[in-house]
Amino acid sequence: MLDCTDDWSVWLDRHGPALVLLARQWTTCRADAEDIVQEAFVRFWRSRERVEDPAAYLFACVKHCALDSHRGRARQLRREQATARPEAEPLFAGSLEQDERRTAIESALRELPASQAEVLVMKVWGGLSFPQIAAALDTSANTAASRYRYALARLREQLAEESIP
Amino acid sequence: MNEHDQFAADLAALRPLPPSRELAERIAAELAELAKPVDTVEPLSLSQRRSHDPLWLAALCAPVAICLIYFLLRGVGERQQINMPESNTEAPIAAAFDESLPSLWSYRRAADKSLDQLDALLDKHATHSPEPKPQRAGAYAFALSDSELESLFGEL
Repeated sequence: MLDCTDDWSVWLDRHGPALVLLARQWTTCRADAEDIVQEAFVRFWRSRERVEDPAAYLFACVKHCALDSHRGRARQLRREQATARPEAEPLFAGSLEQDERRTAIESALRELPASQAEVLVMKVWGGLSFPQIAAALDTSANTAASRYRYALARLREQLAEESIP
Repeated sequence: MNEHDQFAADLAALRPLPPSRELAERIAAELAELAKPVDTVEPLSLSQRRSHDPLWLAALCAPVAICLIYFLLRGVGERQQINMPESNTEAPIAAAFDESLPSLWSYRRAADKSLDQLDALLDKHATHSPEPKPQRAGAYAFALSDSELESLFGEL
């Protein structure tokens, strides 16, 4: 089973894209998100044997590190956002044919409340179950499932609004 | 498959950008750095472990400290005994029975023999005792010296 491997690079290959995407919810640039993932991954790797669900713990580490980083940089970000444009770095890989839809989904994802976006990322791109998401976010599985449904519904609404000429 | 599931499948078709190669290299370096102290530190010998263990240190130092305190206190006690003035108990006892000195013992002994002997002893001690030197106690009602008072009365 993948979650039982002791090779950290396998863990990073498997979960890295979703972890960076999750960290991007609290950062404005990819470099900051990768800094967060680095710190969280090292913390996870040192403590992985003491936790019940390592995959859920890995995502929880990313969220905690992202929140710590977000609090420390809140003032700096407010100043930067007042003067700079939102970053244009893409969240997803895709072909040119998919570029328009990808951009629309990225934009809609950024508009989601953080509590819904994090559940969506963990479920859709992280491949976690609702109990795992609940463990990572320290909430109930029902709450995680509800947030997931709200997130999908809201995302669809926003995409539908953007598609209307 | 309901609408949500279909939409979720569409979303899942989008692949998040993978982490950069630099991120993997940084993680590898940090994990190697964390693992380095465990691998490179030589195991401590028994004597080194003993010297680093606080319990060993306490066990070694406690008897030494106790001995040191004991000898210090003992040395102080001896010095106090040396410095202490010798108690002269012989002299007062001998003086008490010395009939040449006025004492209760000598007076009682003389009185037991005869009143003449008591008188004689009192006379003897009276000749040895120094004369009292009464000192005039001055009481002044004014803060002026005698010469000043005389001159003042003279003016009157």
